[in-house]
Amino acid sequence: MSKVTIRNRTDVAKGGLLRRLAGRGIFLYPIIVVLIVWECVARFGGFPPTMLPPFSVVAEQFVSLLISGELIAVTAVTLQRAALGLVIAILVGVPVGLAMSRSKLAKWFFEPLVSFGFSTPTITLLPVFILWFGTGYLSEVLLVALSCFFTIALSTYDGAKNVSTVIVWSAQAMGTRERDLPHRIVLPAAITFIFAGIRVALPLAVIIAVLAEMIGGGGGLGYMLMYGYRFLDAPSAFAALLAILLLGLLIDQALLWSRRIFLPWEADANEK
Amino acid sequence: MTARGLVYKGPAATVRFLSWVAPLAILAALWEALSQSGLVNKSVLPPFSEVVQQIVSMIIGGELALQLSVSLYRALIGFVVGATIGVIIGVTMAMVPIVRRCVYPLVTLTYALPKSALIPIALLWLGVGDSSVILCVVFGAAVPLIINSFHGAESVPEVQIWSAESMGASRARVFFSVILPSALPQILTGLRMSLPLSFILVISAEMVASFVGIGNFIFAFGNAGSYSSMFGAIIMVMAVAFAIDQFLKFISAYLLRWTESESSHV
Repeated sequence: MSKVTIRNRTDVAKGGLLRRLAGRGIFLYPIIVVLIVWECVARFGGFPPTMLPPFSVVAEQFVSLLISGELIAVTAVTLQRAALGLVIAILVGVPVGLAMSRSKLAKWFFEPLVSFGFSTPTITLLPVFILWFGTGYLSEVLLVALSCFFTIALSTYDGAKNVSTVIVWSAQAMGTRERDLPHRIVLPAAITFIFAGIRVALPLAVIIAVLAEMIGGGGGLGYMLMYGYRFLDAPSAFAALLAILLLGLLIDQALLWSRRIFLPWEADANEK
Repeated sequence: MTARGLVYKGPAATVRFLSWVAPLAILAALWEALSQSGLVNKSVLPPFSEVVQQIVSMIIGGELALQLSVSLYRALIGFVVGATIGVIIGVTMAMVPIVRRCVYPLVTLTYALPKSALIPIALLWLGVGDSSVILCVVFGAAVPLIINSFHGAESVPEVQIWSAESMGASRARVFFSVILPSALPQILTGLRMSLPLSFILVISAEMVASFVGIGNFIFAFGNAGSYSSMFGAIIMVMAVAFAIDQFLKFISAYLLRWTESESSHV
């Protein structure tokens, strides 16, 4: 069931910043309550500060890291890895998915591989990548790429499979060459599913990037988390956690926003 | 050509199975060829046959079973606890509006947070050991289940609830006979999502802070340089994870055989 959507932008703007904020505010109350509880428990609960620093200390550390630019640099490293891996996954996964939908041979060959790989924890392959490419950048990027590849290939395949055959027939009837079909007809029609796949794969890319950093090191938010643990620098660890959380939220918002731009007809379908 | 009264159902199950396995077999053959021919350094890519040898000796030696059972134990406990908590919270959210307004923002936040990021925090709190891993798994399993059971319970057609109530069903009866079965597909989807996730979290945690468990097992081989055992362990883990996923698919197909749904292969 579609909810009532805002009719045009001026509606919202006129509706009042205050009203919008108040609406959002209700959303925030439980979070604020949790933060207050955190602060009290941390200060008066007798936990050692290395275990549970009060939220104020964490926030302080977070802000100071932000100002010194260190947090941005670290986040950029992680994001770079995730983005690079995701791009590779898209470049390989979309053609594979398309091929799987059009060619029976491709489907026969790739389906076992993709569905096998999809349900297995790709993180187990990290030692293999480290063996082949050493610790650091390349192995982690490739791990991200591999993990996202399965998701993207599968959703592209799903989407391409479901392209209405009527569309394909009309294109063929109008003389489209067989080899033009994939990129001129199937791809645009499947873009919704592909985008859905990317929507799942992007957070996955960030998660795997952070995980790979935690295990393999090499800078980035994951490394900062582990550093906090190893040196009992709890505020830094929590600050890194906070950064990861915010990053996740930002990415999801960015995705929703870009979907509204690129696929405006999808906007009402499901916002969550 | 069909025999009278019989419908051709396609090639026999064994043929289908073999045809599914074939690409994997081709890959294995390629692997063996690549390694044995010396094109790729043997220490970097040990021959498939050697890897299989190691797998067999690990299985026989019992070490594989030991490590796997430790990891599975952690994953299962965390999964059961987390899933139960998740379902309870999710369904309560759907049924009691106040709970929903309080908990929903928190759930959105935890949804955005990758649970593997909690590993170092859990390590800070509980040190290296079973409990920190299980704690992470509890979180990891709970969140998808909260969301899925919430949506499942929420989308129960009100007509059904009303009919049940008008026929005199008590609150409890309504819950168990109407809401729960209707929410079951979503809950099962959530379970299907969080069991592999639990397993992944356990392995990740073990890889991050090496202690007993299959994650550590793999890394230890890597550090010791016995790469064929490392590959072997990795393959076994992937096989187990795959088996778990197939098993879950099978169970949910069985439990949901009364629902009408287009079969999806994910």
